[in-house]
Amino acid sequence: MKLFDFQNQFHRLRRASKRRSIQLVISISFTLVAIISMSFMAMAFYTNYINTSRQNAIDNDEKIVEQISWNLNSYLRNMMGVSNSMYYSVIKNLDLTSDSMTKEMDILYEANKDDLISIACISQDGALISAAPIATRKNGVDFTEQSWFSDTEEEKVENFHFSAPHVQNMFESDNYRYYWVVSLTRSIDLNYMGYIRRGILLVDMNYSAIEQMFMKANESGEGYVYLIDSNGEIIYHPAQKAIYSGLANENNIVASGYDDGNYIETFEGNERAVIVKTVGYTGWKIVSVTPVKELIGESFQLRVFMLIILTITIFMILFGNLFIARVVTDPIKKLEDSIGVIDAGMLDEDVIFIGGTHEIRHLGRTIKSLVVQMRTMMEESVAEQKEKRKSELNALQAQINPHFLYNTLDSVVWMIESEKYPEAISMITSLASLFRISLSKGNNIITIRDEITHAKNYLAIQKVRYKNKFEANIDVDPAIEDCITIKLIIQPLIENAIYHAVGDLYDEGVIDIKGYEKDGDIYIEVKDNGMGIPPEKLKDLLKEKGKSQGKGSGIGLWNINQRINLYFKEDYGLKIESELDVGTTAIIHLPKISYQEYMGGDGNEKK
Amino acid sequence: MRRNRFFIGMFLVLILLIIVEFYVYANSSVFEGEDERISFVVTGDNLDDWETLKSGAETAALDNKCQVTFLNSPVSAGVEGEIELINRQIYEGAEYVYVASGYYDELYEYIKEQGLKSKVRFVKNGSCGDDKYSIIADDYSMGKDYGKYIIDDGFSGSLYVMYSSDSVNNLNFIKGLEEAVDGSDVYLKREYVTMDDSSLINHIYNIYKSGLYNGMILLDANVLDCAMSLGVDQKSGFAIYGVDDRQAAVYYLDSGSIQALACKDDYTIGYLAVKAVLNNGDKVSDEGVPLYYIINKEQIYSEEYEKILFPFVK
Repeated sequence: MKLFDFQNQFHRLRRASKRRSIQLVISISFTLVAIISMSFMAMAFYTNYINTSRQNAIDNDEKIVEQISWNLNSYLRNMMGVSNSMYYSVIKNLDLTSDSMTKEMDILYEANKDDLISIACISQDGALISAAPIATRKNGVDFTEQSWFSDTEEEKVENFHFSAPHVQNMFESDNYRYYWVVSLTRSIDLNYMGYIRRGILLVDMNYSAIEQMFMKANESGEGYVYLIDSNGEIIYHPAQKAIYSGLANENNIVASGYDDGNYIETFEGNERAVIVKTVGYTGWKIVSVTPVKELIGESFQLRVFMLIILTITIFMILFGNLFIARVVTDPIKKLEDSIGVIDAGMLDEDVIFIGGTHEIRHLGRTIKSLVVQMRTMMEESVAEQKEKRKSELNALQAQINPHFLYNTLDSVVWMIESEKYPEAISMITSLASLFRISLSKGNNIITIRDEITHAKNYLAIQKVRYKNKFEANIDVDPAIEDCITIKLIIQPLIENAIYHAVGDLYDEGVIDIKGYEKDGDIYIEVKDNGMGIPPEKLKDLLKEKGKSQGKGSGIGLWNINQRINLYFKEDYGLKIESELDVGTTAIIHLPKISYQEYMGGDGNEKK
Repeated sequence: MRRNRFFIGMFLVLILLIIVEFYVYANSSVFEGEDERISFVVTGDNLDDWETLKSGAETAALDNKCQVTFLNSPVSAGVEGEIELINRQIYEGAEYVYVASGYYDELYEYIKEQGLKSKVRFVKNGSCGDDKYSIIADDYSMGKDYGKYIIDDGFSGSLYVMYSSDSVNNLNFIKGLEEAVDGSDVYLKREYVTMDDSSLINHIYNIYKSGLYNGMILLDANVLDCAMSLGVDQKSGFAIYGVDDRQAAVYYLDSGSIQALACKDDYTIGYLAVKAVLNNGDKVSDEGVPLYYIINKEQIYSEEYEKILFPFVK
């Protein structure tokens, strides 16, 4: 059912689309093409802008990470330099049984105290040999239990070890200050009168120096930078306390597995750009995290701005196209409207619109010329047809009058000679009436009443001539008397009935003339009780003269039928029915048109 | 005619659309969401004393379109100073104002009367049961836990409870402590002191020297400082327990001057306070994140407590 409905809808749409105007087609097509092209371009530019912005932001972040890395490396190199200086320039050259390193240590400390918390030299068994700044070791603190001590003990002299950040708890502090430090340690050789013992050189780096490097980078924007060791443990993070407390999370363990470069990762439902850079010497990694949505910055405003431009452009395209389409198609529309007038039947060339572009004007002029030609041709054709019919009718009618006139006049002469004056007067009166109706002021169409009167007059004349050898009965429905008929169609039938049927009968012949309406048409029957017509003759009766083989004119019947066909359609005409020894019936079939109706329109014939 | 109406309609729709878009563009910051503004009003003459709380609040605000402002009301200004600051912050557009008040009871009544409960919340100081939106450690539980710790630590005898502020925090703490030691070998003597420092030092000395008590539990900073200035020998068996958030208290513990320390986690309190605002005003679940700790010397430098006791602040 759904498929059926869909098909139905589709067909309805197709039908509706076929009724579209040219203006609508132009407007919609141009608008769609413009909007699609523009949208495509806008999307391409926007995507390119977004990608470029994103890449620029990533490049910028990479530079920041690079800078931090450089600073951190520099700091670490500096600290290592302090350690190297202390060891290679001082400790290595000392005999600890007699010499002291305190002074040199102090100098080195003072020179770097912004970046250091302390420097210390510790023997293998955990004894403090020297430290700067000078401070008392805390009670109960055993150096050998510190993780930095145990991690460094077995290392080579050249190898540095960096601890995780921790609070320095080795020395007493008189101001309640506790320092977070990263311990840089190395194993060293201590010389005791030529005996080499292992020891540890400890440089406690001030953690806040590292913190400061990262805090500057984390001051603005939604992104941040943090530092992890090679195991992923956080060394610095702007929210490290929250992470340690379990209030916040970070993807540090995963980040420790990244090689240097930039990545897009999803963490806790947020997409972020991650840049990783490994710090030399330590294996630490600097990780920069920026939410992806911040990479393109002020995206919301940009999108709204694009939407504004798009809307205004659609506005301009739409109405611009409508206006242009209107300018282009208005003349076509006007031309179409004027052709519509022509189509309705009004062949007036003055209504044809001439205007618009050159092509439309040319089209209009051509159509105008065609209309003129059409009208002329039609008028000529109509006139020609009228003339043709008129002459045909006239010619046809002219064929049936002469003999009757002669005979009738002979009869009148005979009556006068026989001093039968009333009969003569009656006959001449009837003749006059006959001719009046025959002429009918040149009209070919008369009422049935007049045609019956004409028949009556004819019968009156013929009865005298045939000495009442036959009887004629006329029964015409009064309702059809005011309808039209072609003149001189009943009289020839009566003539035939007299000449070929009842005229030779010894018994009294009967001619019945009947007129009635049936199925909306008019039928007039002329029936006689003559000998009938043999079938072989009957079939030729309505054929044109020359084709009929029998005696007698035959012209009258063909004439009647032809005139009826000419004036009305082929559906109407004359039919002959006959039965031998019974009689013959001629049936005229006419359309029912009242005389008033006929007089109301000039073109009523041949509808 | 119908077509003209259609085009006029389209024209009007497009014009309206352009106007709306221009409006959205001009006010894009409103539609993107302005930053939340949260103010913290704290009591004290030195804002540095609240550095840890501030650090927690600022960490929570980081990257979350949130501005945090810290203001201190001097002690001398009293509760009126706090009220004035609170009202000014609200007037200037703060979404919420958190108060760590030194005059909790009066301020609480004021807030209730003024109908400001939807805007003003309490943090750190106060009774945690009064307002479900306040971020306050459960002092009663802390007192109870501390009592248990003291008993588990092997202490028995008389314990002198001294405090210089009759705040609801201290009173709740003492209630918990009393309940914890009830029925045990620990007997409490409580005293609210209002004397100056030199008198207080003498008083503490007398208590120590009287021999009537086996130890003290000191609930306020100045009381603890006075006790520490005496330099009581821990080997004498007189146990001193502290309740204090300061770094100095950690030093006392580290140096062995006090047996144990109960401290509140200001960082977490500040963090949770801001997170509650960012969570549409509802409290964020803080199960499993304690707001106070009871620590001894051996635990100071452990991985768990080192980062709590020594915040990463300069």
